[in-house]
Amino acid sequence: MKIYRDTKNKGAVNMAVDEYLMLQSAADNEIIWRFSGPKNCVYLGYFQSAEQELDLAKCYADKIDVIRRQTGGGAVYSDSELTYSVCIPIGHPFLKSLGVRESYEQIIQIIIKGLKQLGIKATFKPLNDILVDGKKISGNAQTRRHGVLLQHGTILMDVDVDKMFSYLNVSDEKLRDKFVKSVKSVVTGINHILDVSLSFQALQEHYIAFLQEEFKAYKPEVLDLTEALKEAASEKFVDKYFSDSWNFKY
Amino acid sequence: MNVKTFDYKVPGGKLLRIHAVFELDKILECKIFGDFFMHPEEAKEGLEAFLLGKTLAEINPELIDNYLLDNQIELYGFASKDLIYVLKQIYENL
Repeated sequence: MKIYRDTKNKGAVNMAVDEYLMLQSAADNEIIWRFSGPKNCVYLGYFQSAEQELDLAKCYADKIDVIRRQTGGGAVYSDSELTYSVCIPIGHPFLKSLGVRESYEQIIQIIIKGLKQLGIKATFKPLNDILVDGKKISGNAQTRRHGVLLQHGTILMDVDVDKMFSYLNVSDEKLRDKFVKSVKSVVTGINHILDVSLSFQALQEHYIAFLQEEFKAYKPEVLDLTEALKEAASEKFVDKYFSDSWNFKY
Repeated sequence: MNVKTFDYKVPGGKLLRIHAVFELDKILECKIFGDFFMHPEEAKEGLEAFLLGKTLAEINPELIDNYLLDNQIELYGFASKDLIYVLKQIYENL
């Protein structure tokens, strides 16, 4: 098993690296984790329309990249989160079930256990959310291709709901204030819960140490994700995550 | 052609948004969007194509479920009945 320590990246790079690591996971038949973060981007769910979901003029004005994920789910903008990605070859003994619901829960429970070690009591809300005191702290999404299951998700740290939703279209602009207020009451971040604020690096190191212990049997190897790997991934998927034909396909 | 849209937040599920064009009750165009999950993702276009040319009277959950089963497509966040509900809403509000 490999655990990659990564930095905050442009959204297209993150998506390209995720898919590149799926190929690596398939080739080496091993589990690969990666911890990274987004930089100046809105991620769209696979089935969402960029034009319908986003305030594209504001995205362009603020130099926010619009990047379509290879996974379903909703649009998300956050500049304060830890993103985890895990690639598991289909048929790997770690996967207790191939079922989508069951595998979501199996992976999400690991993230929840990591939160518990920080003193945060979180719960799984099917299909793909993690809640703390009824508020969402993490959204997760899964796909299967190249013979590998990829699940990636957010672990929100600081939440600025006004900014988070400033790039998203709200169907009735008059309802935006009401919408933002209602979202504020249902979303939270780690640093809103803990007495001491954690940095991106501190949370990343917490999860890396936690996984090393949790997956001791798989002899995890912790590596810094290299620029060379990012460049190779970006080159391989240049026509996908770096192209308008993908990001604006719907 | 007059494209109509209907958004439906599936209770306990995800948002389903459909753009459709009808001729009487026959589906001439159908595009499915939303924050749901579908495995494999590329199956969306096939499902849309499957619905084309069919009338609302012809479409029922069993027909769609059989298509999904035959093509090994899994939906999460909405079901066949929700798809039909949205199409009917569009048709009835033409």
